[in-house]
Amino acid sequence: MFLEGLRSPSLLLHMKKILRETIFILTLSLFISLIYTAASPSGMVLLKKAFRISVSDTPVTEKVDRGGSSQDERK
Amino acid sequence: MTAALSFVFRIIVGGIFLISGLAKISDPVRFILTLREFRLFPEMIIPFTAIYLPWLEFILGLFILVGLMYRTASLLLAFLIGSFTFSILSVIVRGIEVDCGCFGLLADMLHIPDMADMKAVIRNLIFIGMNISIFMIKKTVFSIENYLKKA
Repeated sequence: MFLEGLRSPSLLLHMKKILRETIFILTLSLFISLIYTAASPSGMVLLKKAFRISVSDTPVTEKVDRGGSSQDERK
Repeated sequence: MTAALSFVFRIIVGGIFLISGLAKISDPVRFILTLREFRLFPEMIIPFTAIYLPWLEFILGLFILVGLMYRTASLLLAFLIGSFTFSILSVIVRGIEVDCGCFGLLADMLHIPDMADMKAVIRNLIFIGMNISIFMIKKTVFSIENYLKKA
């Protein structure tokens, strides 16, 4: 009986509604937070820091290594 | 009767999280420092969390208060408070004494104790109970959803 209840179309519709509203709320919060942070001066610093951390992984160190090795070759 | 109870819970939970969200939005640097003290999150995601989480808290509180998608919002808020409670419990188990950061600047202004201890865990469990009640009780009063249904 419980399984039949789970398979009922009304429950499926209800779950779809909850999922749709969840996506809406999460996206709305993301947009508002990014816009507000970008608009405020202190928030912009925070945003830059957040993006710098996520972007600067290995390429910077690779460049430094290559520069160092080429200088060694010139010497 | 249950509709009135749902409304009372909505006012309490919605109001508290709306205000605590605003308090965190006004001082994101303090929230970053609190998140670092927890020693639970990787450094890379802390700035994003400090930007996003207060706004999510604010919007969930607002939606619950005005009664717009309030059942989904209460479910999401229950999950969010659950994750906060897990973080506080991990700090207690590891024996780290930190500020909870639950109310941000508001705790300083109103001189409310805001430590990550068992009191905070119990308070969060009560909030989770209220949110689940809001989700389970299908009827409420004074909500935008009710107004839209009637119109």
